[in-house]
Amino acid sequence: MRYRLLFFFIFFILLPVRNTVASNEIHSSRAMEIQAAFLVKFCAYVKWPKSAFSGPDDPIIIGIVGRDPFGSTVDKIARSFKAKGRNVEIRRFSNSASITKSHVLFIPSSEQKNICEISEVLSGGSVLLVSNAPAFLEQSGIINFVMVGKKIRFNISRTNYQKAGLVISSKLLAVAHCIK
Amino acid sequence: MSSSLFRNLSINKKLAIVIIFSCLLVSLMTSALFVGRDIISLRQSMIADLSGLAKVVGINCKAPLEFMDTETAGEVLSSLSARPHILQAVLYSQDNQVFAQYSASSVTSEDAQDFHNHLKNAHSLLLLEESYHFHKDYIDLTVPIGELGKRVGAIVLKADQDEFYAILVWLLYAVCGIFVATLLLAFYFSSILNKVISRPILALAEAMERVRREENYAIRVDITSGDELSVLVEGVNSMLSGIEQRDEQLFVAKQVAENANLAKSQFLAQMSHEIRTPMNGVLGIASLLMHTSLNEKQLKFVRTIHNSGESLLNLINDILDFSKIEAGKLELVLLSFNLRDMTEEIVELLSEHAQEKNVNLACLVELDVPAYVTGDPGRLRQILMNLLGNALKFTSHGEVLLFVSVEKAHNKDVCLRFEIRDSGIGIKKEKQEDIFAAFSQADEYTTRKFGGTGLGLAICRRLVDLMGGEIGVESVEGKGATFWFTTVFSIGSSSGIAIDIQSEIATAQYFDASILVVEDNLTNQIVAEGTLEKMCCKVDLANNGIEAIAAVEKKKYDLIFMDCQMPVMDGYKATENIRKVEKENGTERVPIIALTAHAMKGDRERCFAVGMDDYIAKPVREPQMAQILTKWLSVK
Repeated sequence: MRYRLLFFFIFFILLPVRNTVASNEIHSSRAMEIQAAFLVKFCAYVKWPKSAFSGPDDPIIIGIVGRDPFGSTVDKIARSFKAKGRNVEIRRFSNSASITKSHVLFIPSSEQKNICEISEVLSGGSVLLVSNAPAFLEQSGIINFVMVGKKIRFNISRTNYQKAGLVISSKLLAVAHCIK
Repeated sequence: MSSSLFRNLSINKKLAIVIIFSCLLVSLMTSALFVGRDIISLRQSMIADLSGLAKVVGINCKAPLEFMDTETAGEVLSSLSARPHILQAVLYSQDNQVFAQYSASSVTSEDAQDFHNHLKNAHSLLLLEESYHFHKDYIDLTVPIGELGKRVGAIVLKADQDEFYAILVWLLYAVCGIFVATLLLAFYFSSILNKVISRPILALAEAMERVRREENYAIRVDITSGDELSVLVEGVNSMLSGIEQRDEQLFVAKQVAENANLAKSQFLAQMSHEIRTPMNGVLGIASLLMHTSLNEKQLKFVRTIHNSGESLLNLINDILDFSKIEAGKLELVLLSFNLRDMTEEIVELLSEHAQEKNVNLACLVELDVPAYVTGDPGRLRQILMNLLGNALKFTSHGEVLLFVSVEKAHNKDVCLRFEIRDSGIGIKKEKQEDIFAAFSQADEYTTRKFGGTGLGLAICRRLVDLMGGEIGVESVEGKGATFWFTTVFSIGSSSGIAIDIQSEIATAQYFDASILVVEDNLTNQIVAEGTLEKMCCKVDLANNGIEAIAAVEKKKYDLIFMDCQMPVMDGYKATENIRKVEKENGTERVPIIALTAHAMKGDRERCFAVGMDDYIAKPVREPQMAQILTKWLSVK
């Protein structure tokens, strides 16, 4: 009877998933690889205002501020990726001052101290701010990578992306760990 | 085998089988077509349905796959519980690993594992296009997620086929229903066809059978329709009326022919009889004349007259016998007689003729042949005389042998075989059957050389037939012939009324007696008177019964010869009268011997009934007369 009851419920078996990282260190190289992939794939689920692009063939520009934690991995992923018909381009900015127009901006934890500066530079433009720094969302960040157990997940701040004039697909929201 | 089985069936059944078979075949083919089409379209719709579902689920799983969110993927998959026919769903990630999976509550963990193992053996799911496989009790469908080249994973759905099988069962019932309906319709139509086609045929067959059984060609078959069958029936009817008409014509023709034949036979018999009477006169007188004092030349003439008369009489006797047999008027008498004595007498009778021709004539009767047998001695004698006479006629040297043996014996019956062997000219093989036919001889040359009517053997054959035997001949041309015949006798005894065989070898006898001859015919009177006087009898004549009675009253006679048919008063009445007078007066009983024209069975009985003592067939010949006199006068 107990046995039957067990099967009465819908069950699914969760097998070891590959986004598990060896340590729970968010900066490990494997964790960074996953974050690079996620960063590129976000482009497909985010809708920018029309003013963000000058033409239909304009690429989506992903900017990385400060010291690049991804290396060539992110370029490789971006090269083969297309989001809604647009190519993805990676641009690296050495400091907040050199930031030019971009659609996605990754702020590594090393640049967390400069977040205020960067926000100022962007001054209300529609930019998806992504970071793996803790408590990033409280600093007007939109997507924040977090470690959940041994897995890389991300939180999304609804207030912040709405403020930035972005639309994030419900599909992406569905897979977010936490929406604030 | 089966085709002959079909061929022997009645038309009814043939029609029914053909109709039912073709109806069933058509409905089978139609059903197969529709069921097949239904199955295919059902499967297609199932696949389309499943594929749509898989695509929706796949789209919803794309983000979880991309962001490696197994929990969300699991949630998406668990939404499949709304579709109870989905048994299992497995989501594969880009690297061909199971990302998330779902099993319906009805699926056991073993089944789930089995399906897993099954998929593990499959090819790289990401390389595949959308594909599906039908299994015995489930379908699996694989749909890749993401565009070609950018595949992020694949989803595999396993669905049960319960619905499919339910529809299949329904279809099966429908097909069975159609079959039953077809069968009933086919029976109905074949019964209609039966009415239209086979019933008239059967009626026709029945009518033909009735015609055959009753031999009634007046039967006609009713025409019920206007098709080819009615043509057939009309044909049969006209054939029947044709046969009927022809039968009538044939019957009339047959009657005419039979009447003509009967008339001919009667004429022949009458003529022969009429010829016989004067012939007897000629013979009797010639015989008497021979014993008068004649010179040698006269004697030769008289003898010639006598011999010619004999031949003529034999001929006429043959014709008479033959026409009697043909008319079916010949009846056999049954008497016990001594066979050995008879054969010896016959041989003795013919031995003189044999000696003249220098031919040895012998008789051989085997020991086991009974001495006394019961049959018709006169007719047996006739056959033997005929065959022996023939044998002597066609044999110029050598011998003629009569051989009697027992063919077979059964209780009181014995079948005797008589063989007459000669060393004569023989008979050609091809003629051997013909010679027993009437008016037939071996050839014309034979006829010219040896004479004869050709009736002898035909009469023999008919007599043997009457006696229940067979007759035949074995011969090699030029080397003699063996005629044989068999007859069935019952074994007789000497104690029975033995009839003495008429012997023609009568030695001259002399009786001193007074005899009354009652006879209306003048010639016969003269012959009888002459013959009796030759034997030294005193003869008185009477022309009829009245005269006879008067004569008997006047004078006492030793013996009376009484003709049966006479004018004024016939012999029967006269005899009755004489007997009555004798009884009244108490005088001695005079032997009265009947003279009958033709020795018919009934005549003899009538003679004895009125009080006659014996009878003698006309023409009266000297030997018979001598025998009668010996018999009755010696008794005295």
